[in-house]
Amino acid sequence: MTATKSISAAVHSAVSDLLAEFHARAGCEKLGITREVFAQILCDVSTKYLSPESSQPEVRTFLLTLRIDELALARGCAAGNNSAWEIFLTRYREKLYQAALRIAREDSAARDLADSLYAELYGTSTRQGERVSKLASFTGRGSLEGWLRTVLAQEFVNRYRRTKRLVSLDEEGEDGSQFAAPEPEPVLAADSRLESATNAALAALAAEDRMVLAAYYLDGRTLAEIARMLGVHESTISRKVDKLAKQLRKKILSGMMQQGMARRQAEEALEVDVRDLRLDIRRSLAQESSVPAFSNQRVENAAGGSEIPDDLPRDVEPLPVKSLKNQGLQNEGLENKLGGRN
Amino acid sequence: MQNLPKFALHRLREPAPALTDTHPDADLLTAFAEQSLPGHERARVLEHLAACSDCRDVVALALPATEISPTLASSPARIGWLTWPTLRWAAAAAVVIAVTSVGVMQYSHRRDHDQAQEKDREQTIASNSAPADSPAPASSASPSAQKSQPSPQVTTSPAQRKQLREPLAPAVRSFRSNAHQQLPQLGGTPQSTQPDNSAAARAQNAIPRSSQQVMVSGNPQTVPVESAASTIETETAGTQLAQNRANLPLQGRNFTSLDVVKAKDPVPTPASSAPPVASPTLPLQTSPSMMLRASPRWMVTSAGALQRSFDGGITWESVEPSRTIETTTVAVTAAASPAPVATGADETQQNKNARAAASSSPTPPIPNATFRAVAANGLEVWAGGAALYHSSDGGNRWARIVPTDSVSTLTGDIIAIQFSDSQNGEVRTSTGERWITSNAGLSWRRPQ
Repeated sequence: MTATKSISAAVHSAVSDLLAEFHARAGCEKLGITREVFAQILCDVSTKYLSPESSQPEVRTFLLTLRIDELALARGCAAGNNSAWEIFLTRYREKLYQAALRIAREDSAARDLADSLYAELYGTSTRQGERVSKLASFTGRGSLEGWLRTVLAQEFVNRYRRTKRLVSLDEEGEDGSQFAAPEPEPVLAADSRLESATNAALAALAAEDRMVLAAYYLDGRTLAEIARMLGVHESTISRKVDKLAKQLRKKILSGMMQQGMARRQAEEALEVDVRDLRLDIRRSLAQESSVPAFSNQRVENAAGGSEIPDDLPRDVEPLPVKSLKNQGLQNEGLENKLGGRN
Repeated sequence: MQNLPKFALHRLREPAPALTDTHPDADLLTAFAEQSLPGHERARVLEHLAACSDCRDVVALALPATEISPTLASSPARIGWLTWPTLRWAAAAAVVIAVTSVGVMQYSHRRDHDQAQEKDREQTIASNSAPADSPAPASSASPSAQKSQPSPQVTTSPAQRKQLREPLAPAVRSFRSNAHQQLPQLGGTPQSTQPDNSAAARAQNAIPRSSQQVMVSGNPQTVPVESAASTIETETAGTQLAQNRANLPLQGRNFTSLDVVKAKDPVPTPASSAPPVASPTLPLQTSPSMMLRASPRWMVTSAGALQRSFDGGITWESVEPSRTIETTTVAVTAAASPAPVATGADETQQNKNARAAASSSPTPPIPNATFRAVAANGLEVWAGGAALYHSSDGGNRWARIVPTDSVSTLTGDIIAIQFSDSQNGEVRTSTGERWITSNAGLSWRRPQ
């Protein structure tokens, strides 16, 4: 607990330094936010994102990057302030519908999506007797408009994934036995060298490179979309994808050859049986059932205050043995980081 | 784009459960997409995005619509006039143009150079020979020489000049379709000594002066009178013509087979036999401009051997037409010539006569022939001595030609050969006969 206190000290001093300025600039008075409340909000946000070792200047720098105006507006809305809601609706209602339309690509689905988000923003969901507005989880790291789009997208993905999962479970019910017969264990055993070579090659890639590959090859994102996600030019991504794919293939091949495979054998092993691949897709889809929905998580975050969301109550994980086994080298680094944070 | 190995795709697809439990919150994802995360946080989000397709989807779906238009608007705006893709093509085009123009300039420069050399040489010869020659031929030669100098490629008719500018077949046609050419009369008889001396003197001059000249020197032992045409220039006007010539198949004039009309009549009848063809006369000195540089140079040694050089006169090799001749059947098909010569009905008749004579009496080549005269015109080579030989491929294959007309055939040894181009030439014999052809030896006539 000494750590928590020291955080608080650094954060507190930074917050109290900037509080007057922020409070005035964001027009908190109009939004019905007192200095004390605003100080608490700033402390919560800082504690949530900053490591316990952060010094006072670091906290100050962090606070200066926040979108204070929008943070105050969101929190004012969350507190039920009418003038805050007026401003919010004037600024964002139209944008929110437009964003929903862009995400859902269809009018009725877009309205549905936007309406359900509005409900969450108003705070219809109650937990322990409290009205909790989703806006209370806004921390001002990015723009409020961007945050609204992100929340819409999360909601959309959650719904989409739910539908997909239902469909896939139905399918499995119909013809599950058909797929149960060829258990891919022998295939995997035969491919152990391919597996380790692939894991090593992927682990050697930077996270951004893996993300680019996955977005391009798995998600079917366009180069332009990936470029915008990463804030670089499209041609950069185009070159990168090409280079990475070549590199990866070469590395996997050489990795397998290092383990004593002949070149031809290694090349053949790279072309994994399509049927095996389909099974794996099915398995990875099944795995996703263990992931909690975004909305739940968000609410928990908001309710939990400075709690790190790893403590969320989770479903029992029916993880297949293989997925545990497949938890490749590439994830070790982050796991360690997360472990350290916990 | 490259394809990823399927297994690698599969591995990319595998979500890591430990990560998917801790999706970055909407604030972090928003800040990530807005590029406002500090490095370490961005790295963590990226690490997650690499493993979590849901969050990738969220980020992609949440991309602002408004940013599309600036991106789309800015990229066409940048593709303007002076942008790199345009410049790249412009640069490529500039390079092509530069290379082409350099080539053209080089070519024309070389041609100018050749022409200048040609002119120089002609003038030199003219000045050398003018005082020595007998007054009559000299005076008659000079104007023609002057006239022909401006166009070194063509020394004959304007029509030919025009044809020569056309590249391929016309170029060949022009070789064969020239106006007739006559030489100045060097005295009434071949025995006139004065021109011979001057010719010999010219030949002597020519040997050291220019290795580019084809030397034709007579044999003083056999015939006391040297050939009048002892110096023939083979310098040429352009390599392109040579290439054209070399590339063109000599259809219908295949001299691989023997084409011989034996000279049996020792007593020529000069007055009555020659067809009345009026030919423009051009002097010997101006004739060789058509000769091409790429072809070998020719000379006849004092011993009467025929020699050629492919390296500008440094080394010489002996050529024996009698050995390389193919003594098979006689087949001269003048009608199938790719460039039929419109010279009149009488000539067609002559061709027929020649063919008839050739087919009726094929003559074997004379072994170890002694040569006294040679004339080369590119790859067209005429060599004469005891018999007349013609090669149209630079001396590799020869055909023996016996000039004949409707009433007589050539008699005596050939002492002089002059060809102004591949078609038109004149042969003179030790017996004082003059034979003229205007179709590369297919038919002959004796001028009055």
